[in-house]
Amino acid sequence: MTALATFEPLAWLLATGYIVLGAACAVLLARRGHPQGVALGALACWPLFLPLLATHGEPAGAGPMRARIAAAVAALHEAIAEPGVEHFHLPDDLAGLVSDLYRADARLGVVDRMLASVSPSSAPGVVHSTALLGRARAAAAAQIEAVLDGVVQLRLQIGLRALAGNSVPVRERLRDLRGRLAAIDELEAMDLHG
Amino acid sequence: MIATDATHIATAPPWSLPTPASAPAPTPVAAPSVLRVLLSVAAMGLVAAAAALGAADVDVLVRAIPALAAPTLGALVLTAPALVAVHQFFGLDAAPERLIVALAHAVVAGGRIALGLVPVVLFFAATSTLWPLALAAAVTIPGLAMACVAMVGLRDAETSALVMPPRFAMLLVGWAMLSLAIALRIAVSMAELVAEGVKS
Amino acid sequence: MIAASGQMSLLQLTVRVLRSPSSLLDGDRVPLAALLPGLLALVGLAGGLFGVVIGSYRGGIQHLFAAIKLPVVLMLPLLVALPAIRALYLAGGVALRYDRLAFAAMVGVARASLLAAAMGPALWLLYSVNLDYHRAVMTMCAALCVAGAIGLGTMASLLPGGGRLRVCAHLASLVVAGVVFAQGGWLLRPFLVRPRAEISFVRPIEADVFSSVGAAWRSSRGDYRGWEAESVPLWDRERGLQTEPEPEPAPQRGEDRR
Repeated sequence: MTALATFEPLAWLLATGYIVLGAACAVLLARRGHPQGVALGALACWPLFLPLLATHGEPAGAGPMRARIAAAVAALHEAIAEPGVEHFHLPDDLAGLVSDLYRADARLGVVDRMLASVSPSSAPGVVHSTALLGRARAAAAAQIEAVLDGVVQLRLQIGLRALAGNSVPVRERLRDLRGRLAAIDELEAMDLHG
Repeated sequence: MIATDATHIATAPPWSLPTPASAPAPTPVAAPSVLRVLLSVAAMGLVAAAAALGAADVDVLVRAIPALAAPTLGALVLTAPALVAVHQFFGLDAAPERLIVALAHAVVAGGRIALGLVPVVLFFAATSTLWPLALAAAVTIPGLAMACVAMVGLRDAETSALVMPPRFAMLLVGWAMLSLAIALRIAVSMAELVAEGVKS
Repeated sequence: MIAASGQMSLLQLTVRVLRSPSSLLDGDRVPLAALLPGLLALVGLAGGLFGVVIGSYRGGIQHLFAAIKLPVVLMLPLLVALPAIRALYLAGGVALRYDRLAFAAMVGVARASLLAAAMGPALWLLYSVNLDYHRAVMTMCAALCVAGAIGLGTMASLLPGGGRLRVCAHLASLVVAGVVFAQGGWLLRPFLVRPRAEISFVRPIEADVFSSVGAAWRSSRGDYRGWEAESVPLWDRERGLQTEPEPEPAPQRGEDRR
């Protein structure tokens, strides 16, 4: 029983640490828009949910560009799987970028549904707001298009690496693309709340 | 004649075997950064500290950290120059830098495994009296993994052909056996060091 | 596929896990957020069901205790050993992302739990006919081994291909996960309680699974000192054993101790 005295405090300490980390993980996931089931699961089994900390929860509604985003990302992953670039690993930032893209797309979907639900009206306030929302929507869609173009360029650069064997500044490229997506948030904040 | 340029032809030892002309060139591998290698070494110390927590003794903890990193790293540091020297003496193909890069990748792989073992070792340290065994496993598993990764990396550095040159195969086996013997010798000394800490 | 997996019922998820686990993957993308809660629920339910069957050997409150503890034992290797397993696969040359490993391991455990639960009725039937305690333990271990082997195979099949040292990584991962599973089971014992023994949720932390295995091995050879003899720390074994009662005199030549 002498041995008990040496490891019991450590067991308690580790158990407490596990619970505290689980609670922190659950709170973070809930704040990032993940469903309650995910946050609850993370409370008990947080080591399994760690990869989700880098992503945001997907909004319920799908946007108009969802299929295009999925196709662009799938094509990028296929490019990585091609022979000649086997040693190339996509950085973890990509998951965040894809998640941001889906979120931006889902918000486009929300705006589309709102615009469709508004009945035609001649009231100047309604006309002005509708025009404002339409402009913001067009700007956001243009940014998503630009990011998708950037993903295609990235894929081509990876192809170039397979040929020339030079390095590809993927991380910098992804940072630029995420910057573009952040611009959508700023734009929405300016137009919708300003 | 073992290589394509004139320098190698002039310095090739008379017992060199000809390399098949169709042997594919090895794929280039980027070297890990020095920081990554140092972090990998630190990870080996961390897993030792995690295992020694089971002893609940600071003296043991202090002795265990070098005890874990020493056998694998010591063997690597002591044998790497010998490996490169004999490799060049045999007139084999791979550049010395590539051999060093392969060994550096092995250290990174060992460090990554050591880091991954931290939760497992903590689990055993907290729930059993098996911390010495956990410590031994934390030396052995990353050490063996390092040896395997190093062998594969060195082989890839030398040739992409299916069959290794016999001289290189001999060098690889000799290096592995020497590394193992040195690692075991250091491990015995380190085990004595930790045991002294436990008894004191 | 992702949207579908997000709206999948537990029954649909069970069918997918059992029939074609790879269909849960969406290309290279792992719909972790959509699947993990459902998979955890499956492990909880199926593992709990198997636990109820195990608890039925003793009956009473042990039904509940075993049902709570068994899913925890099944999940422990994942929660403790996943980083080590990933590092082993990376060293083996398999380009493995953490989310993919978490997904593969979780599907493997869910499949193993479901199959263990499927073996439950047969096991219950055996336990209901006054099976000897040691045989009951052996049948439980056999059921867990069969389900576990299938679960491990499922996990391996869901990992990305490639890797020069892939087989070594498989074996090393098996050892690491197996050792954690065994110690977790020992830590949360008892599952099967002897008919006349007192029921407790967990016993105090003492010794380890290897001393238990050693004691079982010695018992099978007629030495009934029990695992308490092994609870002395390894480095103090000689001194610790000196405090033990004097061993029986060595048997004479030709005399059988058993």
